[in-house]
Amino acid sequence: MTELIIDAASHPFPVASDDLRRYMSEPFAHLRFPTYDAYFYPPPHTEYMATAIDAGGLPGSDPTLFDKEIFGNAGTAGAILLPLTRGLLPDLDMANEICSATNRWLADQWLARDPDRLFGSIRINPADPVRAIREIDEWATHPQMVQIAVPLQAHQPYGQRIYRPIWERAAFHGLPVAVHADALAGNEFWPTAAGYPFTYAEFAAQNPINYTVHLLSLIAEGVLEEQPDLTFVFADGGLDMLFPILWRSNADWRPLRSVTPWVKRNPLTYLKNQVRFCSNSLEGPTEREAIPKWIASVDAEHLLMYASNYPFSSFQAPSAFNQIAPATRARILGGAALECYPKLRRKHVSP
Amino acid sequence: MAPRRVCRIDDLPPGGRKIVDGGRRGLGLFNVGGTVVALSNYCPHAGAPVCRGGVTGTTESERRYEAKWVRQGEILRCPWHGWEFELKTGRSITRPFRSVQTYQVTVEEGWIVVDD
Amino acid sequence: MAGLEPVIDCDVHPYPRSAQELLSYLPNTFGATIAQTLETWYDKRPGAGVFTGSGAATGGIRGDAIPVSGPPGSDPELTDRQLFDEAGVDRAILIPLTLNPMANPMHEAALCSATNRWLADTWLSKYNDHGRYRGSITVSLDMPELAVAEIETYAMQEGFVQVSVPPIARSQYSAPQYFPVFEAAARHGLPVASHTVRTLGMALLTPVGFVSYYFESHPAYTLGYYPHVASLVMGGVFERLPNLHLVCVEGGVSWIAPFMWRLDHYWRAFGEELPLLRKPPSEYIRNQVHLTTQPLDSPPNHRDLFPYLEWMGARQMLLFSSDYPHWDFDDPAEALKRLPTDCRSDIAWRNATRLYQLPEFEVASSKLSPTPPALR
Repeated sequence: MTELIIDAASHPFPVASDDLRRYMSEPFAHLRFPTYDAYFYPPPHTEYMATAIDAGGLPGSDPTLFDKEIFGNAGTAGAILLPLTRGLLPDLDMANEICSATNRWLADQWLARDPDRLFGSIRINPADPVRAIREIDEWATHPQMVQIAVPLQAHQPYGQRIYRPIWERAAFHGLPVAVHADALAGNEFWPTAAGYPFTYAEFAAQNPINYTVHLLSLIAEGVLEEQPDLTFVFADGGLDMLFPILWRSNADWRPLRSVTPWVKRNPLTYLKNQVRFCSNSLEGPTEREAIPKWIASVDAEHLLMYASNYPFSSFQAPSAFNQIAPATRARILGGAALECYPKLRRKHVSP
Repeated sequence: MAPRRVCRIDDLPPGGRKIVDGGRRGLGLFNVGGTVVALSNYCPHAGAPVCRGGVTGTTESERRYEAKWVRQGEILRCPWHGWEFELKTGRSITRPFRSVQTYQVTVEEGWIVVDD
Repeated sequence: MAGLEPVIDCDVHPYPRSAQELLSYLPNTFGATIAQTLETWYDKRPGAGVFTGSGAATGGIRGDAIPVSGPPGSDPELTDRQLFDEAGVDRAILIPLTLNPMANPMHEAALCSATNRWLADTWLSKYNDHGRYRGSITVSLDMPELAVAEIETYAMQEGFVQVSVPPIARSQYSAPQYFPVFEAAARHGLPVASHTVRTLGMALLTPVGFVSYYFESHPAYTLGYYPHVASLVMGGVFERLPNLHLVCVEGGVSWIAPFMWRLDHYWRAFGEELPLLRKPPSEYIRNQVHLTTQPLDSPPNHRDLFPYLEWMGARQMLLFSSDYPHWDFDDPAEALKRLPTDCRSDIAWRNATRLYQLPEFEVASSKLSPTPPALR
């Protein structure tokens, strides 16, 4: 395959949870915070791929294994790293500190070792807009930081007023905003609109779909209308559930227009320029024959970006798209990411 | 079909409305501040009797969270799904436009004459 | 206005003429205190107006469906005319929405009981000379013993063809305490319809907070159904009760196709803790979950919906509905036009005929005979 492949989301981890402390200052560095392998919903078996598990550290912490899988086997030319933090923590300053430390750790341990092929996400705590903006400003000019990253979990949908300055800052710096489920180890609300599912499979299948609440909020509160250059990337996937929800909004838009008259356009019109989804192997048709038609029906050519989701067992190799028409495949595997992330283009990323 | 008299102008004061026979589901006559308009009583969205909806105003906005109330008496809201149409043109507020069909209206010798 | 196809409307909302009328059916068994509380509270119950501009401009009701007196949906003559004469509906499945979730489950149970007695006495008998109405047994999941008692009482009574529960329960549908309710429904061959009700407070909380506008909340009806569908599937309730059918009302249709795939993927990847499943989740859904069509998903080009219909197996899953008298009413002729021709009959009447075990219609000149067969 000679296409350019960008991995839009993979998730490196420190060797040990406590490694993060080296990048934290007091009074936080010695205090307790949730470890990376703490689960409210424990998976019935490991949720990591076998080749990422190394006896010496957390899965996804070994750069050699990472390189072998991502740059070797998958033939990726560039990988956007999206490190996870520890969920919504009650103490906002602890959450801020974890974000800052994660950014420092990522830059030091990952980005520095491969300036041409590794790219990163600036973790911020959206619950503290003042600090979040400061963190964005600190890292925005780092040549390898290509986006902001915020948790999927929140206490308020992301279109609401308190977050406005953050998105304006991201837009100012030309940085997309990635939304990704974070840990579920903190003060989160229940993961479905009907409370807590009983099993891991139910939880894991439904949790990613919560992006729809954020998306409708970003539309209804005028964020996408006001910031036409701002892109949101839903990195847990969910493109499969997009149109069923948005077609409903399409029907409601004219009837409800007068309540939110600043939403001047049909909700569907924001997608092409301002909304992207990472691919995910656990969504979409279960029969291979249905995939090409599905790819067309969800406008994957414009909305989908290939992501490996390394080191999780839902790992997806670029070959998953082999049967897609070449032009569409090229877009999904790399073209869409190049368009979404201007800083990728400035690096000479080529096969 | 030739233009026809549908009702006396005296029966339709400003702000008034009358549904008369004609078209697919009747015609709605409205007196909008002295101007008489005739709209098909059939909503282009889903076929509702649009002329039975509320005559009201609407909101305009130049920035987020701003909703200025404007055009009172000029807007027809379909009674089913609330689509907003300009009474004088039959056109929806939103783009792309969807339109309620309108008819030529004149007033002759105290009669409202509609060409449908 | 009537089309050529018979139409069974699977979501119509009758209302009592007044709180007094409804509460006059409250059984004595609930006691004077509860009766007193409901009498003072019922007309003042909150929840309907919490979202600005909810239900477009007309407070949630079709602007031309407001009776001269009484609340919308309370006038059987107006309903008959607008549904049967103007819209061309032949049978209507009634889902009363007299209930809002309440803090005290006993209050909910009391309202359920009153509702069922009222429905039996009015819309399923006095107002039903033409035999066109069928009804739902309203129950409160969080009082399972009383719910089962209601089902046992009305299952054999004329006109009741399903059980109705709100999606707002204190737990997900496969919770063990709810099993007797689903078991009773299945045993009597009664589908269970889940229909959103107006609410406030924690029931409005989404996984990422409270939304600001009705524009955001309305699509969230769908988000309220799929956890329960997943729960019944993955929790093995559909496996244990092969006769159980769930109807998700007003939640849209296209979501079920990608959702079936999702559950299949996650069952394959992490299904060890789902020992009760013998088949892929999608198979349970295809056979035991049904969706009413209103509000029919509205892509800019109606044909964009067709692949989803194909993927879900719409021919057997979908049930036409209008949601009369609500604001986002779907006229049958208009809605059916937006569906593929080869599944219109199934969606318009065949699926409902089978699901609710209604007598087969004669389709002589494609129109129903004026004297409907006897009620089941």
